Amino acid sequence: MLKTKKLWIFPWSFKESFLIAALLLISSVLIQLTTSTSSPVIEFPYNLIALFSFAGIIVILHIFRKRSNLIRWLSGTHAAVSAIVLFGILAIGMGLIPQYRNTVPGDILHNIVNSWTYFIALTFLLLVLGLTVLRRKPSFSFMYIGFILNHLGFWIFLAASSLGYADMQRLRMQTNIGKAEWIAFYENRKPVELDIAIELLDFNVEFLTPSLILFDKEKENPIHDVKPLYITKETKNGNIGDLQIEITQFMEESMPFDSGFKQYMGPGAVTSAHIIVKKNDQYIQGWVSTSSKYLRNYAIELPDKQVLILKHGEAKNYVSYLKTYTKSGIIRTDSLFVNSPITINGYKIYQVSYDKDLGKYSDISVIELIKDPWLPYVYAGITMLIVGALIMFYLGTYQKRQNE
Amino acid sequence: MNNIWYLFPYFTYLIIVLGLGTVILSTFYYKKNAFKLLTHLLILMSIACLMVFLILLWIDLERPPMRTLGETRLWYALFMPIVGFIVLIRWKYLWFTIYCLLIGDLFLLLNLLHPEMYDKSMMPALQSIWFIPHVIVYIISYSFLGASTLAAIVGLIRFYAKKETFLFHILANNLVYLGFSFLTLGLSFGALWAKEAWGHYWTWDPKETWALITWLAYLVYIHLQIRYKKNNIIGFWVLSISFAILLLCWFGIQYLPAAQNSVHIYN
Repeated sequence: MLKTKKLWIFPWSFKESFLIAALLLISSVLIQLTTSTSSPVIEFPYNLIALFSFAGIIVILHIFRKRSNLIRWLSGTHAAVSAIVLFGILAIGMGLIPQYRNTVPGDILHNIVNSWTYFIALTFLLLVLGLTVLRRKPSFSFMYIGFILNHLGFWIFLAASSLGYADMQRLRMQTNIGKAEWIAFYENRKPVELDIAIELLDFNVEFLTPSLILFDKEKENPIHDVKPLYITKETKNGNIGDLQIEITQFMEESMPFDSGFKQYMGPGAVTSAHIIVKKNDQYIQGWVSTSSKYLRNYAIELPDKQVLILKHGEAKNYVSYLKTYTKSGIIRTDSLFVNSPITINGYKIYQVSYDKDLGKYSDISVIELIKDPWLPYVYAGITMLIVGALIMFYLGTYQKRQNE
Repeated sequence: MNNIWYLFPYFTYLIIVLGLGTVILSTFYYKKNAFKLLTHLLILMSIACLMVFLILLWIDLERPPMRTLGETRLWYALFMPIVGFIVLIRWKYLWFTIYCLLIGDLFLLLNLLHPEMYDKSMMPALQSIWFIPHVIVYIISYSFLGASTLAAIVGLIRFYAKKETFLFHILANNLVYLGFSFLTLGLSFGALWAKEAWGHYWTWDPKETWALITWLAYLVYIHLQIRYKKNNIIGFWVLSISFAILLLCWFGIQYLPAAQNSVHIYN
C-alpha cells in the first residue's frame, strides 16, 4: 500500500497535480474577468519567436531537471494527467456551450478558444508534453520511436496549429459569369485586394433523382418507415407503402401552365409529374412538383391527413469553371469541384456554394481562398501521430505476448 | 430495383439463429475439437452473412452505406464479432467472444426496431476518398473500445464481489491500446479530410470537439494505468466513463444545444 503523505511534500502525486490544474483554471478565469481581454493573438514573426523561446525554456527547464522537484513533477505522469484533464474540461465546455467567433472579451463561455483559460491550459499541456518528450532516454527500440512520434507529434501539431492560426488567411470571394473579380473578404467582412483575378466561365450542378414521399400533415414530418419512390423519366409505376402509383407524365424542368405543367428550360424551372394514386380501389390523380423561389410546390392530398409530395433531389455534385488571371500575365482555366481544392499562387481554392434558387442556372459561385503557411508543420505532426498510432497498434499486441 | 432493406429482417433472423447456435455449441467448446471448429465456423458464417448484406446494400444504394446512424450500426454489428473472434483466437476468452457476438446481434435488432430512412443521397462533401477509411477506422476503434469497456465492467463487478480482477485489467488494457491507436487514426484522417472538404483541418465542429474529448478521456486512462499497475479500480471507472462519452459522441450529438449546425449530424 502507498504511504499516506502530507500534501505539497515532494514527490507530488495526483492530489497536488489536480489542485494545481484547478489553481490554473481559477486564476485564468480571474485574469479574463479582471482585464476583460482575450488571450493574445500573435502574428508572424512574433509567433515564431514565441515558439522558439518557449521551446528554449522547455530545454533549459529540462537541463535543471535533476535539481528541481518541481520540474521533475512537470515531466511526469501525474502532471500529464492533470494537464490532459484541464484541457479536456475546456473541450467539454466547447462541446456543450454554443461557441461564437466574435464575442465581447469578457465572455469566457462562448469563445473558449480565445479565452485566457484556453491559452493557459494549452501552455501547461505543451510545457508538460515538451518536458515529457525530453525526459525519455533515447534508444533505438520501437517503444521509444513510438513514444517520440506520439508525444512530439502531438506537441508539434498543437504548437503549429495554435501559434500558426493568426497567420492563416481565409478569404471568400463571389465569382460572377462574365466579370473578373479580384476583391475577396475576410471572415470579418474586411475586403482585400488580391494579386489574382478570377472569372466564372460556367457553373454546373448535378442533382440526384427526385423522390415522391408521403408526408404527415398533422406531425408536419415525412413518414419515415415508408420507402419513398425515386422517379426518373423511365419510371412508369411503383408503390409507396400500400399506395399504387402510376406516373403518366414527368418533366425535369417545367412551369405551371393552365391546370397542369409545361416543359420549360430556364431559371426558376421546377420538376413536375402527373400521377394517378390508387388505394383500396379509390383513384386520386393530380400534379406534384418541387418548389422554387417563385413557386410553391404542388402536392396531392390523400385521406388520413396524408399528402404526397415531390422532393427535389439533393445536389450530387457541383462544379465551377474558372478563369484566373495573375499579375505576371499567366491565364489559366480550372474546374473546381467540392472536396477537391486547386492551388493557384499559393492559395488553396475551394468550391463553397452557388445561387441555390437558380440551381444549374446560377450565374455566381462562391469560392474560398486559403493560405496557411504553418500547414506543412501541422501535417508533419499529424503524420507523426499516424505512424505513432500504427506502432502503438503493433506494440499493443507485442505487450500481450509478454503478458502471457 | 427493389430496395435491399426489405431483405434485412431475413438476414437478421439468420444471423441471430447462427448466434444462438454458437452460444449453445460453445457450452461444449472444450469437450471436443470438432465442437471447437464448429463454433468457429458458425461465428465466421454469421460474420460472412452480414458482410454479404453490406455488400448488397452498398451496390443498391450506389454509395458506401456509412452515412446514417442505422448504417453505422451495421458496421458495428460486423466488427464487434470480428474483434470477438480475434480475442478468441489470440487469447482464448470464449465468454468474451460470446458477449461480442450478442452485442453485434443486439445492434442488428436495434436496426429492425428503428427502420432505416431510405435515403440514397450523399452530400458532395461526403464524396471523398477519406470517407470510407475515416468511418471504418472509427468503427473498428469503437469495437475495440466497446470490448475493453465490457472487460472493465466485469472487472468492476468482480472487484465489488471481492474477486480477483487482474486478468480483466490486462484484457481491458490490451484492448484499449488497440482501440486508441485506431481512434488516433480516425481523428487524424478526419482532420486531413476536413482540410480538403471544408478548408481547415480543425474547426471545433461539435462532433470534432466530442471526438477530441473521447480521445482525451482514453488518453487519461492510458496515462493513469501507468501509475495503477495492479489496483486498477479507478482505471475501470475511467474506462466506463470514457465509453459513455464515446457513445454520446456517436449518438447524442444532435441533442446538444452546441451542435445544431454540425456537419456530422446523422439524419
